[in-house]
Amino acid sequence: MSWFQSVNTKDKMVISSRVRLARNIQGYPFPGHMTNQQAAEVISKIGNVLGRNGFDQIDFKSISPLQAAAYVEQRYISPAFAKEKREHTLFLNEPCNLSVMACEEDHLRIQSIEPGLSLEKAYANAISVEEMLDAHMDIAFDKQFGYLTACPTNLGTGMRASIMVFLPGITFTGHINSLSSQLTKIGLTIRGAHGEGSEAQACVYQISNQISMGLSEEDIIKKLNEVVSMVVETETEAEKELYSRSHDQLTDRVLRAEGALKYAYMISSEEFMKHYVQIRLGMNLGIIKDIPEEQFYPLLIEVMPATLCQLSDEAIGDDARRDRARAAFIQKKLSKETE
Amino acid sequence: MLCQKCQKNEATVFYKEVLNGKTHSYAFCPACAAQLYKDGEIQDTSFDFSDPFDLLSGKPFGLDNLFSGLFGVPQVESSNGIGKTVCPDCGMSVFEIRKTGMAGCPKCYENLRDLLTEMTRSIHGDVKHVGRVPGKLQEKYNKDGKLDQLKSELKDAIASENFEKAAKLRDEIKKMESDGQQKNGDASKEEL
Ligand SMILES: [Zn+2]
Ligand SMILES: [Zn+2]
Repeated sequence: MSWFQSVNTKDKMVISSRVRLARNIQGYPFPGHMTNQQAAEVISKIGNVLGRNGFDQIDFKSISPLQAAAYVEQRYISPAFAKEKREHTLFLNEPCNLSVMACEEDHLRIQSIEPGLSLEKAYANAISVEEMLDAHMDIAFDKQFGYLTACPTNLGTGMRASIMVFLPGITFTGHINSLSSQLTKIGLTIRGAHGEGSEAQACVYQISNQISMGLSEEDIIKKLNEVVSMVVETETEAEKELYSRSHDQLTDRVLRAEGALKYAYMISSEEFMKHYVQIRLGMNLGIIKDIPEEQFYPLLIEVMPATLCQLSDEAIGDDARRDRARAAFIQKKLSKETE
Repeated sequence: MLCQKCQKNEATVFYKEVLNGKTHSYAFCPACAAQLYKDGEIQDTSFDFSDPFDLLSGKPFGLDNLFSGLFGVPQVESSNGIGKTVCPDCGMSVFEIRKTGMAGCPKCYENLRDLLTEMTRSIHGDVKHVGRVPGKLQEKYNKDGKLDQLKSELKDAIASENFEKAAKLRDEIKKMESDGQQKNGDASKEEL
């Protein structure tokens, strides 16, 4: 089961924890300046190590755009990697929630993702992959700059640790901007996790370290953990405030959203997202009690366009058919009992 | 001397900039200088450069003065005063790195350390890595760290007039340092 299908109901606000390490191999220019020949060499060096350690090699020249889009939705790769024209390869170890992008902006982007609040585990897994590679190649490093990366924003540890959080309370009470400016002051950043525009609807955000240099990996993780637990506390308060301020309106919105997801015949991604937020908020506040969390939470990723096609085992090209398939998928999930 | 950007034409335009406390000098041919001005790498508002190419190529002898006016520094350097502006490993110039915000190869950080230190400082605040190091360097770094620690202990011991401890520490430091040299010596012998 992929990370987005396993649910940690203990952390209601935290969707996932992710650690990404940027590394480069000495003796080669960064991917933006490599010849195809050099890129192929680097990819084969990486493949020699990862192939022996449970990773599948996925050549982007041979996969469908739909498959590439599904990897983006499931956060195994960056949108930039899916669009990349130069030589590039994905190494994927899906059972361990590990992916390695070879020749993205850097030679190596090692990424580990875990459901719920679990940065330590994500970090430990990413490091285990890093160590395998480190033992077989010379990683570019400088005493002053740390791990050398194409863009100086990733220097030092080369690490980006991020936590995907669900914050409807803070969003609807209008406190996201003030949270954002407070995070900036301490070297962290928050941004909508579902692309521009839709983020306000989705209320899903990504909090990550902006600064990768001057703090050790452990300290970055510790800081992020502390901050996220404070954010989650604030979110709980904000939801309670919202509920006491407008009990009737909120209850009405939540129940209407439940009705729409249960009975709609067709549903678009945008409409789904709007209702999903209301229902999750309603579940947090105890307005809705009979929807099983382990069935409902994963819908966030499961009904995204490409992943939906993948899970329904058919490539659904047109929007209307996909919207119908989405409604059916959701209803099947909601009719399941709590295990 | 040759233009530092195209490495083809004779350089007739010179200018200086102060980076990270150090002065860097550059030399370009008129065409490259005009292009750099157009790209916004060289800026000034008090001159009308609406047709910079013509202006620059039409005034071959007045250029030094023109640019000294722009940058407020005395110009025309001897060619040995010119700083490194291109990474010899990948060919990326200071200008390209500035413009794209990206280095061309890992060696850029060593070859153009001043520029990249300045860029890194503006992003991260400080330029001092803390944390993991590659496996192959771990032993060396641990040893460096241990040496630093012993040296600071030695300083404290002398300051507090604990000479017995100081003597012990001094021996320990000597031993570590000579071990290192021996190792290096062996390694270079092997290479030969
Ligand atoms: Zn030139
Ligand atoms: Zn370079």
